[in-house]
Formats: sequence, C-alpha cells, structure tokens
Amino acid sequence: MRRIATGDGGYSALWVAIVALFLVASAALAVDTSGAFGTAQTDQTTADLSCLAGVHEIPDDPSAGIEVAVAYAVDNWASMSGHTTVHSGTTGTYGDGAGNEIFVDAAFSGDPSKMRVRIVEIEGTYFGKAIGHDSITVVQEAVCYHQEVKNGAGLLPIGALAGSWNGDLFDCAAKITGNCGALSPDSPGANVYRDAVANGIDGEFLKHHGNRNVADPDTGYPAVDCFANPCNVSETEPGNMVGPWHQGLTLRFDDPTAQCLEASWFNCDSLAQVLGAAPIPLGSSGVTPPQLGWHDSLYGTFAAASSATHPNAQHYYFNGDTLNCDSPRLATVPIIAQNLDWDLGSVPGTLPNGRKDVKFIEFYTIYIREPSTIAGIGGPIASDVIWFGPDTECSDGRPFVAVGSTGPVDRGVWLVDS
Amino acid sequence: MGLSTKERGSALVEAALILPFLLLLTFGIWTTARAWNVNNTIAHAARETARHGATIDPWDAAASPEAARAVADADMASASIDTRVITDCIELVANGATSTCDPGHTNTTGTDQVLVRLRYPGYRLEFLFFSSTIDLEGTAISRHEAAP
Repeated sequence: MRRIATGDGGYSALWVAIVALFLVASAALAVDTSGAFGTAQTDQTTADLSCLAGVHEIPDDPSAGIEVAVAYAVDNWASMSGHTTVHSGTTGTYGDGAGNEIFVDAAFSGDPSKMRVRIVEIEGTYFGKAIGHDSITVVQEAVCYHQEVKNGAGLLPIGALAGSWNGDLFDCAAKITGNCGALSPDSPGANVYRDAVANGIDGEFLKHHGNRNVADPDTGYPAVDCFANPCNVSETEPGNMVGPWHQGLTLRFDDPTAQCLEASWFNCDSLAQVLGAAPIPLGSSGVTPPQLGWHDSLYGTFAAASSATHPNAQHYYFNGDTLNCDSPRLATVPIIAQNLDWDLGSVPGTLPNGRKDVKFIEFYTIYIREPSTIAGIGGPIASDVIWFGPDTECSDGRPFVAVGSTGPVDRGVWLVDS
Repeated sequence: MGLSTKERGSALVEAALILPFLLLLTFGIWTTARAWNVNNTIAHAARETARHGATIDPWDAAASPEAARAVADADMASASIDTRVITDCIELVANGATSTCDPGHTNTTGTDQVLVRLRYPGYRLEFLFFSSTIDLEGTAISRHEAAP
C-alpha cells in the first residue's frame, strides 16, 4: 500500500464537506417537500370539510351547495378570502387569479347527489428556487354523497283509516289506479310523493281530535293545514299513485348498509334486526307495558292487541336502546279521521280520489314486514305495529322520536303519552 | 502502514472540528421532524374534533366543547403530546355571529358551524447547543349538522 503523502492532511475535512453538501441539499429538499405535504394535508381537510358542508344543499339547490362549500373552504383556508365564485351550470370556481383555486362540482359524474371539491394551492418553495422551482402545485380532492335519511322519524305519506287498520290498508298492489291512501302533507305531485315514500317526510306532525274549529281537547293545539309546520291536516293526492308508490318503495329499500341484503341493495332486515333484539309480542307473559295513551276507538281493545288477535298487524312492545332508527323498514303512519264532516267522501273506510282534507288523529310506528324480497315490491304491503316504551333509544344513543322532531305537543305512538 | 509523526491525530482533530456541525445537523433534523409530527397531530386532532363536534346535537355551550376536546386529547395523547399545554377554542358559532373565543372569526356561511382551534404555544425546538420556541396550531371549521 502506498504511503500517505504529507499533503494528504485535510482529506477528512474535504470528504465531510462533500457529504455535508449532500446532507444540506437533502435537508433543503426535505423542507420543501414536507412543506408541500403539510399543505396537502391541510388542503385535504379543507376539501373534506367543505364538501361535507355543501353536500347538504344538493340535489335540491346545487347553487347553494356550491356557495356553502366555497364558504367553508375559505373559512379553512383564510388567505383565500375576498374573491367571488363564478358559477357555470352545476359547477363553481373560486380563485385568486394566481393559480390558487377552489372548484366545486355539485353534480359529480352527472349524479346530482354527488359533490366534488377540488383544492389547488400554489405552495412556494424555500430552497427549490436555487434549481429553478419556485413553487409546487398541490391538488387535493374530496367527493361526498348526499343520501336521504330513511328512518322512522319521517312520516310515510299514507293514510290509515281509524278503526279499519289491518296492517296493509294502503296496499296499491290490488289497484290499477287510485291514490292508495296517498297524502301530500308537504307539497303535491307524483315525484314528490315518490320521494316521500322513499325517505319519509321530516317535519312536526301533530294529532287533533274533535271538531276542526276547536282546539284539540288533549293538547290545546288548533287544526293547521300541513303546508305549514307543525300541522295536523293534510291534503290527499288526486292522481294515480300506484306507480310512484312502487317506485318510492324501491328507492326506500335501496339500502346497501343493511344487515340483511338481497342482490346487494335490497334491505330485508327482520324485525329482530331492526330492533336489535327479538320482538316481544304485546301482552306476552311477564310483559306488562303501560297503557296510557291507548285509545280503544283507534287501536281496538288493548286486551285484543295484547293477545295478538289482529289478523295482519301484530303488535309488539319495545323499550330498549338498540333500535336501528335509520332502518327504512321503520315508518310512522298517520291514522286519519273518517268523519264525513272532514270531507272524506261518502263511503266510510275508503279514501277519496281527488284533493281533499284529512286530519291526523294518531300515529302508528310500524315495521314494514312485506315486501321482504325484491320480487315482492309490487305486491301486498304488510306491517306490524311497534309500541315504544319511554326508555327507547336508538342504537347510536339518540333518543327515539316516533314522528316529527320537537314541539310543544306530545305526538306519535308512545304508550306513555298524554 | 502508519502515518508519519506529524500527521498522527489529524483525522481526530478534523473529526472534532466537524462533529459539532454534524451533531447540530442531526439534532436539527430530529427536533424539526418532531415539531412537524406534533404540528400534524394537532392539525389532525383539530379536524377530528371539528367532525365530532359537528354531530353533537343539541350543542351545549357548557358541556359540548369539553366532549369535543376529549377527542382531540385522545388523538394528541397517542402521539405523546402533553395535552395539558394545549389551549383550545372550541365553539358553536351561529350563522352571522362572531366567535367569542376567537374574535377574529365571523361565520358568514349561512349555516351554524363548529370552530376548533388548538394551539401549542411555545413548543421547544432543541438544537443541542441552543434552543428556540415556536407556536404550533391546528384549525378546522365544520358545518354543524343539526337534526332536521
């Protein structure tokens, strides 16, 4: 081996200097790239939160959805304030003219229920400038989906006539034409009705007894038409609702998150799966539910229900905390008055064709037992009645409200009731 | 074969000269990476807290911020951050209102929103021979999803 010459001194320093140069360059690269990654993380949060905020407004009002999404994007990206959103169809662009941009598509992939938010941010570099890279373009996206909540809190727009309920009264299967008991408490129209069957109607629905010109003797609440809210008087649908009813049911049971599925989309959850426990027939041995609020004139005698003598609609009692409140198989049905002075038509026990007023005198919360298969959607509708105790809670901890949301008047089908 | 007498120890001397810089660089990378991780964790915690807060309905001004903060604390504790030093501003800001804990923020979105701002004031950067402090912060604002 050659002997190291006298002039070899300083080699270590030279090598360290070279290595240090690479280290510093690597550190500089790390600073710029991690800065971009940090920006990407923040932008992803911005995209997610703005998409989740704006999606509530679609599909009804895509323009409002864009505005809300942009507002939340700007709130989470403070340096972007002070500009204007440019709308084009179902898309909107909000930019600062320097490449930073918020883009919102309120009908992503042509689907009016999907929203996409794309954030484009120009991130300046610290050390990249030395090699001609003044900035890094960061692009993050979020796509979110608006799904109507299908649950027992929404009113199913079908009228069940008091005293003649047998669990399948609103059956359109045997009819070619007719309104099948269709109500339009929100607004009229076949598509509105179809969507109401699919998703239920959110709102505050009350009951009313006695003369329409006098306040309800139990609650003191007057008769109010349902184009206002809260309300207790609904109009019927004048047209043929057979088609919309079946379409609505198909949409209602299109629930890929159910425990029981047929063909990957049809919710076939059993009563036990909806309740999270085996159902308890009303009046079973050892089960003595309170009877407050029970009206023989509406439901038949309690003894009859307790002994499960109803031919079609079985009665069950539930007072647990595992109720799957979002199940589309859970629905609340208004029981309507058939007094002739309420203009129900001349034949008791039938609903009128043509627009008429009917009033709600009570509510049933039901489990829709049939159709239990896809093929059954066009066939008979059968249901069981669930009576809920005061301790009922949804499986996610929410209190269960049989119908409506909040209000000064008790309503619904609570056994313990005013 | 050995070095000549006058070269003996030169590598040691050179290493001794360079070592402080290498240590400074190494500690600088370590402490900066740690600060970066803490900052990311706080940002993530703010986001998770905002999403959780969005689903608290009804919002209770006394109890809900504490419930939401528990989510942030769980996130930060998992990253070994001393949650006691983290200050927060967690609030339901009604449409058109100005935040009380962050007066610089006014809600103009047309909806009620949950504001979450988490701060780590005076985070200490250790560079072996000296230290410095910076303020770390994570902010997220989500739409409050009240029941219809």
